[in-house]
Amino acid sequence: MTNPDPQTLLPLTPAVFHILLSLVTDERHGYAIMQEVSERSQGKVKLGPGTLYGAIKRLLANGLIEEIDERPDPDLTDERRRYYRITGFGIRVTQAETTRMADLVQLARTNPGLIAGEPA
Amino acid sequence: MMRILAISDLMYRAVITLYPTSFLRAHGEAMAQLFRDSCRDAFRQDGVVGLVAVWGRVLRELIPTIVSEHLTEANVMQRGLVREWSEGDARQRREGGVGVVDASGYINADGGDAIYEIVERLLAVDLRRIVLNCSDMKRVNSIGISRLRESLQQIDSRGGKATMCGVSSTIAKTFGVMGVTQLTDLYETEQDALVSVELD
Repeated sequence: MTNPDPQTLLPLTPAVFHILLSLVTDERHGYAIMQEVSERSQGKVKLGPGTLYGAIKRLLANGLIEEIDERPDPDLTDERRRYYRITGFGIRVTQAETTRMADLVQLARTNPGLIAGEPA
Repeated sequence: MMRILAISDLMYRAVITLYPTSFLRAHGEAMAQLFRDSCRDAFRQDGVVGLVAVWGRVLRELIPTIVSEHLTEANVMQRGLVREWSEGDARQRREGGVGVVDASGYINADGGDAIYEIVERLLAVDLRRIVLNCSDMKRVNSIGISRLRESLQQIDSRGGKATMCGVSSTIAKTFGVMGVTQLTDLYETEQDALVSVELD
């Protein structure tokens, strides 16, 4: 099956975007994803188990991430944990979302009312 | 310390039974483990205050996520009820925790696509145990079989299990030659297929 156009999955929810970002650099299990998201957002985003696994379910279904059998470091990890990694399609969707948000920020920054700090 | 964490763990396990069964089967254990890890670290760091903070976060997300998962499941099961093509159709239904796909008619490229689509929908709601009932399947061609293999491989790659039932002897021979039987077991009746897929 060919993956759909990344644009069709945008915009991503903040939880989904954070999860994808946390997986760009490393394969992680659920708790490691949660910690990475909390650290990366300086404690502003704290995912609960229901939100995290609801998002993981959808990411798996859309082929943005995949579960892996091998363990990144077998000596240090618990056999029962399930590890996830981002797919090539997941990277493309994350890039597309980053571009979409950057364009929005750019648009906001060129708004004269915002530059002056007061409504135009 | 151990006792309060153990009680907290038990309470959480009771609370998450409100999620749909299929969701729980797929992610319940991982959620419980994540909750346990969160409680352990929060308790080590901030004592009871830390534990209360974790529970606060869980309770805030509980109702919205439970409702969302139930709605998603209901929506998917309803939307994908029938998928028709010019020479057959595929329907989905649910038997307990197992998704059943009834495929009938001629399984060509369109039929194979329809089955793949339904399988994807079942996987999307974490119904990873799937029975493909072929009782009304009349003919298959190579593209249809190729798509069928992709469906079976997709189920396997998502940690699921698939079985087939009601396959006629002619189609069973073709499945053998085309390698379908290397990916799944064939059963005579749906009941046998259901039992087998549920046992694993």
